[in-house]
Amino acid sequence: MMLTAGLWASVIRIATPLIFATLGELICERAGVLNLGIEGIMTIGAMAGWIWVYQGGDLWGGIVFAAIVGMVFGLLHSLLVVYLGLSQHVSGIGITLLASSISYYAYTMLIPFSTTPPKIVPFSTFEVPLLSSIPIIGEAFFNQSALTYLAYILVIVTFYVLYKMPIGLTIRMAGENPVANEAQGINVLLIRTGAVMAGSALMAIGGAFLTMSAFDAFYFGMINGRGWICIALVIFASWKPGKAFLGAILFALFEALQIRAQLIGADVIPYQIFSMMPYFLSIVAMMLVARKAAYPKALLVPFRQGDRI
Amino acid sequence: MAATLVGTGVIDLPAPIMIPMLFIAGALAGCLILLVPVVLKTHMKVDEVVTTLLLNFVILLFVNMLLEGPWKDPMAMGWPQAARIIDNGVLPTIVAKSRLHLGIIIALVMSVVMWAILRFTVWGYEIRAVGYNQQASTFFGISINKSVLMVALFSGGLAGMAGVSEVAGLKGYLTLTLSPGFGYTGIAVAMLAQLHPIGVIISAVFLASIYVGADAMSRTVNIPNYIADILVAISLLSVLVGAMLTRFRIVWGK
Repeated sequence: MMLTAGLWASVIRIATPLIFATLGELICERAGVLNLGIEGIMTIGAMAGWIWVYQGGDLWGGIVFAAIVGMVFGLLHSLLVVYLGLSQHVSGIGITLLASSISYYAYTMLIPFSTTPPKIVPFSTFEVPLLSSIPIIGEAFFNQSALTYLAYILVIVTFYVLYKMPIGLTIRMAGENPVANEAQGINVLLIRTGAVMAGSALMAIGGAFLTMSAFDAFYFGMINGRGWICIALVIFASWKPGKAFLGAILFALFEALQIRAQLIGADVIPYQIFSMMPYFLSIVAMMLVARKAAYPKALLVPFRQGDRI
Repeated sequence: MAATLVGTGVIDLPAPIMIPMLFIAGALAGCLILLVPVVLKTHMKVDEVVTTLLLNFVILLFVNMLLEGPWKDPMAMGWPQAARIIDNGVLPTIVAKSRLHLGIIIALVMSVVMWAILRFTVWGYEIRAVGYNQQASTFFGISINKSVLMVALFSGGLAGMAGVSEVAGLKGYLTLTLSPGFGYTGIAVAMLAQLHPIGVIISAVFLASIYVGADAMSRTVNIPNYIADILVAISLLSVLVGAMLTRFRIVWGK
């Protein structure tokens, strides 16, 4: 297949929201909280960021707004599962249902009766001097929108915070052995809440990338399972930021090839077969690593202050 | 959902046989689909919630493919919908001049049956035991994998029957937009019923009235009917909290 710079540029474009959301989910899960609200939080992030710009705000303001909205839903999720110790699965699906229906509701309220969704001026691409002049790689990786560069930076920041800073150790311990955390006089519930809120903010930014950079309008059902794919990616990446980045790129490569194959093979094979591939691949990816997956030990386990093992 | 296969005139049977055939086909389809996540769960420890959420998209695309390809109704003027179910397969309405059809009776019977199974049979006991305490169940020689498999087959079958009831009772043909997220509403229904099969009847009627009310609101005062989904989501989360609070006593100022 054509491994051109154009293909790689679209790979990066597809990967960017996945990188954001996968990092977000990774931070949540590292702190011991599965956040199935990811799909809804991405939806509402996409909606919130877009609405902000549509109402006359600037692009970065939209990103911040999306992140704040994401954090609000992260806070709700953590109130339910961290402080009240409810089922993380059911609560997460409830958050997804709530967040996506609120976004659709708000969207239809603000923009009624539109057949063609109104558009905004999205982020434009921006060439990084020097780096973008590297053939193929430079054009693909360093001729993107500013949000994509933010995603690169966030991978490094997440890695640095999780592995090189004391707060990262605390977050990882909240997901592995919260009792040890508490023995150090650390408030586990607070750490988990903070991690879930930070993660949810990243998910929302991932959603906002779709409406503010990849496309220029909000469509119903535009997240289209990306959130669930990101959860599979987190498992595939065995909870490591660097691997999550590579996983997202690999996944996006398949996605980009799949879209091109649709165009070529449309007469022979129904396009739906190709569209199924991302979801299939996610399931296969989970199967491959599931046996030896090193789940954070306290993932899904609610923690009560003063609990003993 | 994919149960239209049997219904669209592949075989022509008199109604008393045809309708059970439809439901059995739907239930089997549901069972088959759920086998995938269950086997992944029991043999490879893949989280079943994520696999089923992903499989949703695969199945929808598959149905979409059938609807745009081999099953496309030539009479539907380009709309991707399957041919109508033959008359013998359509569920008869039970109240004249309304759309209330046989499906409701079947649903009511099934809730009683499920209640009886869970309450009075060994199976039901094992299933409940696994739900309450996996370790204790293993200790008493209950196979967790087997119970999980049974439960999944049951629930897949019931979900398949729900699809049949929509296709054969209400719409008469299969479309892609058959279920506006009813699967997720099902979770809310079950939680509202405190996971009790008979309670499901009440909570389903309650949530259905929210949807009907929201539709009326959107027709008369132009409120987007997504308000219903918001209410359903809020009630799901509230019930979760409520169920937790009943297990504790609130002590003020200590």
